[in-house]
Amino acid sequence: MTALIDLDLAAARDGLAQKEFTATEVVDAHIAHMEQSRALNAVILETADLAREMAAGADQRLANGTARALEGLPLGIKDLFCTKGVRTTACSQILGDFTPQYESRVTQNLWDAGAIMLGKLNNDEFAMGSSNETSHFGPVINPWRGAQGEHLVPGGSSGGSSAAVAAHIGVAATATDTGGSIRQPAAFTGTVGLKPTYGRCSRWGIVAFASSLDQAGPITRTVRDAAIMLEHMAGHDPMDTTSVDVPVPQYEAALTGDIRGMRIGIPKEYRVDGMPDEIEALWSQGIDWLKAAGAEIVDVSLPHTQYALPTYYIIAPAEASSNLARYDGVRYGHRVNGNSITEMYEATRAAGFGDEVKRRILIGTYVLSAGYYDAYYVKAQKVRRLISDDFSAAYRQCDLLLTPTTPSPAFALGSHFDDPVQMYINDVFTVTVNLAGLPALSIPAGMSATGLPLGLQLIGPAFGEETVLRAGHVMEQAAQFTARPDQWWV
Amino acid sequence: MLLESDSFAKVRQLDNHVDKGCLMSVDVSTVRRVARLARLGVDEEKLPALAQEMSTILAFVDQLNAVDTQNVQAMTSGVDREIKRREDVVTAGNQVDDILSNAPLRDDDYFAVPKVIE
Amino acid sequence: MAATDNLIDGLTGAWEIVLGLEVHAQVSSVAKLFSGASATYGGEPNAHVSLVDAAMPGMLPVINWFCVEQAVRTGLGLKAKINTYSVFDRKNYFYPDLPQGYQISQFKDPIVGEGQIEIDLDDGTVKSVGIERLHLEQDAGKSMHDQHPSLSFVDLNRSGVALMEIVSRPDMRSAAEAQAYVKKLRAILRYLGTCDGNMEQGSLRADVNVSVRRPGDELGTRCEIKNVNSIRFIGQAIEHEARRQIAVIEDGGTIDQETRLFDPRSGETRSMRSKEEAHDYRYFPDPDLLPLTFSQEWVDEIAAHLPELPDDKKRRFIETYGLSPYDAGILVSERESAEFFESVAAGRDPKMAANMVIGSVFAGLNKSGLSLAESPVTADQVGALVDLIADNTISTRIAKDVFDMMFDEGPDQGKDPSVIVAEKGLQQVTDTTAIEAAVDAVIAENPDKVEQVRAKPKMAGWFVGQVMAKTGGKANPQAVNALVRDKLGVPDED
Repeated sequence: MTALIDLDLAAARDGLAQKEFTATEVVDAHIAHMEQSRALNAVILETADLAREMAAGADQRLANGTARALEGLPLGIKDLFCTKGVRTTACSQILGDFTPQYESRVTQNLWDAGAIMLGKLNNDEFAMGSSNETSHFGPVINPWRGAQGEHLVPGGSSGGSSAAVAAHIGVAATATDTGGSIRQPAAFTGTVGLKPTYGRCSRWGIVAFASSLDQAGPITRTVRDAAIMLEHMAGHDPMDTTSVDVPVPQYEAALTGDIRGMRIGIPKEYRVDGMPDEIEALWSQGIDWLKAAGAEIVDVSLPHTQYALPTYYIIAPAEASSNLARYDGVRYGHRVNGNSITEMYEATRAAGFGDEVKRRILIGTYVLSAGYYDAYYVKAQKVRRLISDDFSAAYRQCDLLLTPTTPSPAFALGSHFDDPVQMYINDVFTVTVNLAGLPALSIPAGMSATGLPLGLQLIGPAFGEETVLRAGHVMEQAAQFTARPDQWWV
Repeated sequence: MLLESDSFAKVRQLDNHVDKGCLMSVDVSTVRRVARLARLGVDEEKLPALAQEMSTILAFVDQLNAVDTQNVQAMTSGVDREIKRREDVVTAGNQVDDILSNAPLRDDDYFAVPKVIE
Repeated sequence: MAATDNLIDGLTGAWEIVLGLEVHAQVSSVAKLFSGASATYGGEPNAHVSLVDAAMPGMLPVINWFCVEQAVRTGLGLKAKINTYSVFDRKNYFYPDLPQGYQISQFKDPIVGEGQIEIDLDDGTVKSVGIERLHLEQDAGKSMHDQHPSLSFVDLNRSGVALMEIVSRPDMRSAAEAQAYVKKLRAILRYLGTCDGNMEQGSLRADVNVSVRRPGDELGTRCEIKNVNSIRFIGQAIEHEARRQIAVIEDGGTIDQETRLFDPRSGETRSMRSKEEAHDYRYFPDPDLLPLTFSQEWVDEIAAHLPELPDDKKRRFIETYGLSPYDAGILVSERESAEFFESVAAGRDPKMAANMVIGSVFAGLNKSGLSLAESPVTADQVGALVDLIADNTISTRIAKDVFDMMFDEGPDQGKDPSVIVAEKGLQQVTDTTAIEAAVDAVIAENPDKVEQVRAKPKMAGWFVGQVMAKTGGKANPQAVNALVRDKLGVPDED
């Protein structure tokens, strides 16, 4: 008999529908596990009372036949999503005890579908980071440990989400992806991470990092769970000008298991000299799985791949420097007083923002400033167009692209912290996708020599989530990744 | 062009390295000016290290100079659609407590801040 | 020195003032530019504020399409180029009444391009002033700095209201021209219904760029006087600033390009607290929005339904009603005045109507400080009064009295003129017999004056006045005049 917390989203959903257990039982089990798992530091605000209340309501609906699609299912919510009446901080000191009087569109969609909030999850401050080490609440520990038991990072910025899902705290989690912040942590923790097409989910009520790159998405245990979550997270929102008015398909129905004739592109520029053998091997393995399932393999070229990281590290900080100007101590959050308004601003922002955030604000301000705007910002937006065009051209020859998700497995806590640029390289396979606004899925595909999960990434054309999920599901079945971290943290 | 391991190594060792012919690296007075523009208080002692970090990052992004972008249109949005419109009706407001409930300093129904001298 | 020049005499010679104006006009709309909060003036502090206006985390802008329409309408009224593709940029700076830390504005690609306005100068001539551009942007909130010794208070009601920034070319050369420009621009906006032009409430504010130079020289360094909110102050500010600059230069100094404020109490401009660094607004296209695009057909549709604008209406009044340019100018200065006049003039002598409207109605309103909307007399009543003169029921002299009774505070305010005439028995006496009797009586009573008239024919006027008095002013003056002259043997005046 599977422990309640070990039921994935679909299994819990089906079990509730079959009345094998109640929502209260499921939620209580997750609450207990959450409370025992504090060593991971994945959850920064537990909302147990609220969860129990919501579970009671769910049980009523399940009993009287008005259950909604996600009725009674406990979720972790990344602390970038504004949750009404529940403190939201973006894991930054500058937001203090900010309590939104409004709910983000994406989380409202989930509550409308009957889901339940277990707690707010840790993340890199303002979503800036690839290891969840910049959070004001301290780092998240990956449930997977190094060969000598060392503590590892869970990836970032959605490290709380990926660690929670890997540790079975909640059946799934919401997350956001700006340069890889869903996919890279999923790969580091052996979970599934899906970044939808830009504009698929509404950004209204999500603390903005880089407006033209941010996108909400789920981190889950399986591809099916990701499909189910996306169906309820996605949707047009008239309050978000960048949200696209395209109907939301029944993503779960796309998991037919049949990808015969699908053309899978292998971009040669992702094959890097000096790439670790095991990553190369995993990639080949992925190719074989898809071929065995009837897909056709095509070599493609994305010539501007190598420029994606520098492009990203101009555009994202530039937009962020402007988006974070509102955190000034005037209307909400933390304030450090000063003798003048300027002193107040400078002291508040100096005390409230961590080093990585400050670094990016400074870079962003610099590249937008007079004299540099054309050379940096405009240049980067032009290269971005070329990167996007590369993908468009590739999709004339194939339906999906297959690449590794990250150049390495999870690394030790504190090992990359001093070198910002080295940290940026974690995103080398993922940032291209955000620049082009495309959907991408990371699934756990194998293990490193050191016994850590490794991920493979499927990238689709705009609004091609169904194709991505279908192929991802097939690969997941072939990969049979059943490894679990041993529960050392409880 | 391949993303070679050479460039990985190059990037890891980009301490004082600045590509010849590209834009200048950042000095302390520039950091001070940029920090002021961003209203970020920075201690004087921290300026040199910040200047160093910024220079490293800027040297990294300078790679873009190698790309030919003549006649390429800048991509400023993730979406290629027509702008969404709203009707000219009042749909919000009259929510003073929502607006002020998180204020660090509130006076009646106003936000209070240290006095601004014009 | 030519009579038409606008030059100012300095200590060392003549100077020319060069002026350009940036006018901020609040768009007349129900809701704000990018949020659904009310754009109405006033309101309790922070009551007209939405989550978007307060720049709460995760909030996003969505454009109010009516504001776009109003901007297009205004551009058409300025005979300007309408850009069917324009971009919203963020203008980044820190100020407590700017919650986002940036203002959504338009920098490189504004919605409206070059146009022009014809301004009416006091000597009756018309001068063309170029418009460089018009763009849409958010207004900021309000901070109050004088309510507390160490705190400023912020009210965001105005934050996010739609503004049209209208930039003129530096074509003006005197304070009078600048004032005429603002008056005309305001009239056009009010005609179009795109801005109520209420300067006291801040719906219309002007930033005035002033520089001076020797005639024929290159442009001098300019200073910008910000947020001048009355036409009178615009004149005062320009006069003061021009003389200040001339004095500085003649003293051997140079002008620093700076932003200044006009202080109405002292009548002087002063420098705003100097900034350590020039503003670097780091404009970039707002990634939360998309380019602003619309079809030429939509623009043409708006153009087809524009109201008649002041210049066209003035031309029509001159041609159709035979009015003088001066009178026509007064009547078209406000759309409501023009409509009032046309209502009075319908089916009546337009010149009589114009005289009554300008000489009595407007004069009366000015004196009592009322607006046309608050007028105690309606257009119909004024028209009825004109009718009473036209059919000789009353004389023009009596009509003036009747008007005053209709207009001024008192028992007869707001009454129909025919009612007043009837109640007070003011009908003109036209009966020749009755008038003749009065004339005879006056002649009989004043033999000495009759003698004087023979030598001084102009004394006939005295007799006319006496007869008018004897008839309580009701005798038809023309008839009296004719009879008096006839009986005294005085030839008609020409």
